[in-house]
Amino acid sequence: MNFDISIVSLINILFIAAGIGVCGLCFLQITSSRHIRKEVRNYFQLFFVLITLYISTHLVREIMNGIPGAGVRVTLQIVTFVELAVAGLMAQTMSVLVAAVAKREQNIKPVWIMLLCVLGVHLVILIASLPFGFVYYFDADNVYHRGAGYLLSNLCPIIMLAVDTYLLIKYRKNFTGLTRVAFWNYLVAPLVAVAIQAFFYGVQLIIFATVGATVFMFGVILKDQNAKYEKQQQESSRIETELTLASNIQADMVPNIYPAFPDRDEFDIYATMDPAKEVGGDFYDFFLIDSDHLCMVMADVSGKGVPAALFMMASKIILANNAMIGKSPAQILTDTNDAICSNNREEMFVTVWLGILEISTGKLTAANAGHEYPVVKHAGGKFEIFKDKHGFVIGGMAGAKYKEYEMTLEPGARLFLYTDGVPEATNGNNELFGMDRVLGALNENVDAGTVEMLKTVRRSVDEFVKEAEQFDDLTMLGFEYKGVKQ
Amino acid sequence: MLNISQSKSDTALTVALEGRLDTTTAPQLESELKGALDGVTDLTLDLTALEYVSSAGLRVILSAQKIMNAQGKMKLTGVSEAVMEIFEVTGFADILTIE
Repeated sequence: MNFDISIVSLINILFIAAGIGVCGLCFLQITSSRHIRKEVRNYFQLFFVLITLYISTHLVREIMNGIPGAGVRVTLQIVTFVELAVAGLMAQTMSVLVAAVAKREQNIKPVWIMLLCVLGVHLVILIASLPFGFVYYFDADNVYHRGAGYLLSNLCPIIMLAVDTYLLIKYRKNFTGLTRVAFWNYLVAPLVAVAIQAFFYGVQLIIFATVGATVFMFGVILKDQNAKYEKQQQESSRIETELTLASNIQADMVPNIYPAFPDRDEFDIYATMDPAKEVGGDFYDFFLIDSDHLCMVMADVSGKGVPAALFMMASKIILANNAMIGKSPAQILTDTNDAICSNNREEMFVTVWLGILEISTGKLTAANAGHEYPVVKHAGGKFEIFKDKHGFVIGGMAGAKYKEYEMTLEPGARLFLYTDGVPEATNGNNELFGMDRVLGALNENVDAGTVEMLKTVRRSVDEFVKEAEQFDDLTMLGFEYKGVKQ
Repeated sequence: MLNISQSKSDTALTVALEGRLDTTTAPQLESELKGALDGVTDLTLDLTALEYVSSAGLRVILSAQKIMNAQGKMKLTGVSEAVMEIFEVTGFADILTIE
């Protein structure tokens, strides 16, 4: 076999070989780019595969053209067929790529459907014309010739290029300046190349132009998507910083320095708040209304995260303000409910247990707005659930009324208040921790101090939950009444 | 996981809930009910297969109750013991019609 290659063919072969190399590199790069959107990545991958296929088949045809032999003839027939079929697919992939970059995913499906129809027609034309050499044929010396119906083989690319143009114009606002230039360049460059190569017959400038324009487009889009990714990263780190600050502010909204009342030896109080996210909707509160009255609050806002945290701040302040002016627990809840209901567009609500202890006598007056039952240990007894009367949640319904109840704490009595995150802590088997385990932990040592009470419950929860993710806020308050020393 | 199935006849709508109604699934129910309650005068929430309701879920039930207060009535059926306990503790048992 004797290869006799002209300068023109050599230039073409070099163009094509370089094109294959460049497309291969781009394919590897897009495949390893994690910051690019999945669909954009996939369409680019497809695009580079098609271009490589297109110019490879073109290369094979270029080399084999005019070489005699039956095997060569069959090969030429196959590669030419593939080349023309792929040319249609490339324009199509461009359309879906444009739609994907413009974030008009809903357009991708219609474009595909349209293509399949056009491609079907395209293939039918190619196949039907094979025996007659209508589109192209090889003469007795295996030399490629365009047939009378050659233009028909361009039908598919032309229709799809029209779709590309339409999409580019319609969604021009969705592209940044350079992306738009790159897309248009891809459409126009091959046409310019065709015009120029008419004067240098034989040099396939179109291959050079197509590969060049594609790589340019790829580079621009990659840069663009990387910039977007970096912007997102910046945004999320900003949000993270803000959440950390918010978390600290929330933690400091509730008393968290212990011992809380170092100069009071009649009682001891300790509480912890552990949000499942950075900020949460649970809260506790305790403060002296006057030298003989201690107010204790345990509350849980519906939902989680930032909305719950904002609602928690408002609820806490309104409750405390109402309590500080000396109202009774039922009145505090009633007035807080009316204040919150007066402007509650998001229909959030908060469950509240609120008790006021008369320190000198141990008389506890409490009211419950839809909150969990308190756990009470009377002097000499065990920790037990106290099934108190329940009113409706605060913020749920304007005009709701709340009832209060009284109990007397003897010296040695203890209270354990909590939110539903404690009994509803869930382990890997989807089992709830449950109140029985809460009571079990507390009753391990009925004379434990407040810090130890909470530590024991927390340890018990952690042992139960193990590796499972903390799902709800965990908030607890322990209170020990020591009584007035005579 | 929450599965929601609706069946409607005339102005009566039955919404059956299956699974857990919590922070992650409550928005799903909220958006389904948003469009579905127009013109409904008789809403039934079938909770037979509902295992758990969190406060976020209660919020959606409360919103539905408020909408139905204005345009008809709402009732809950098949409330399990565990869910009933949540309704009782939170005071929802007093404002909901539970059968």
